[in-house]
Amino acid sequence: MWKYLYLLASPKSFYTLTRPILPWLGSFAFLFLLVGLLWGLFWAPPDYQQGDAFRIIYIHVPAAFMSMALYGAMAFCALLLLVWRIKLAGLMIGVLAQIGASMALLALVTGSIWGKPMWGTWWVWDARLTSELVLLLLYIAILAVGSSFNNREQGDKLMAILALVGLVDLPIIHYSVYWWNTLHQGSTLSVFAKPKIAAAMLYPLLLALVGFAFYCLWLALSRACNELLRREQRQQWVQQLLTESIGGK
Amino acid sequence: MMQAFSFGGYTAYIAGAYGVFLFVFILGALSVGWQSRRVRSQLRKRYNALNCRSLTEVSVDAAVKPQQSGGAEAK
Repeated sequence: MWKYLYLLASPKSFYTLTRPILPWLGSFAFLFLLVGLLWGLFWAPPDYQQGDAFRIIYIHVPAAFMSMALYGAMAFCALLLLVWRIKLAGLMIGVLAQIGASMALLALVTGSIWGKPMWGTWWVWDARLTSELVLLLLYIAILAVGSSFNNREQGDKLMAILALVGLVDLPIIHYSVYWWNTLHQGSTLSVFAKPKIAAAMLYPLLLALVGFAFYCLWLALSRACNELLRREQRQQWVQQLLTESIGGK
Repeated sequence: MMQAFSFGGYTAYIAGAYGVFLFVFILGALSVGWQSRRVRSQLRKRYNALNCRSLTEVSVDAAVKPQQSGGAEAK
């Protein structure tokens, strides 16, 4: 495992290994999202209580899940940067923070749109909603800290520290519906428990979830490859790559 | 056909949520394209600048080296 981690930690290996799989990731993301969302929108049966409004779940749940998963991945990168001083991890923190922020915003906006017909209000200071808003603010703070330093290494290090401090918000988001009496409903999906949703509604949700995961992975790796080229433009391997791509034309 | 696009009074909410998703999805994909173009044009400029410099270095070397060697011989 360490062998592969060290192999991926080298910018050149990372670029040459990830670049060819990007079109595949993009295609899988498009396919899974298309099937999952169309299935959820047109073929899944309406909910007995919420009617057709529940169909927002196919956007809201995957976006909320990805906003938390990306934060977890970002915290792992922060650990890699601070403990093993892997420079690539610093780059990944910034990339994951951008995508995580967009997912948190998407989860909040779609949740708000869902809340209006169900709860009669766009927003309540409920524990789940507030902790998700804190997650969005953490992402924004991490991005702001990263862009406020001219010295990139210093900026990356502070982003990593902030990412690790903010990790405490993840269990609060997850358990908020159990710890407090919230307007937000309990978890629909759980790794260990039986799903509380009918199979006809569950399958498109799982497809949408996989589609979102592929989309975020594609976006993160594409942005990381571009950013890597920009940061490493003085290195021999990038110049060699340029000579091959530009000089070959 | 219109029946398929009617969601029992929630059409506007569903359209809003899916519209926001499409906006974020497309913006994310476009941002990768824009970033890629920006980085590549930056690298191309650098490549051209390096190429010009290496050509200049070659011509300067060609012009200077015989004189230097001549100087060395004179010493």
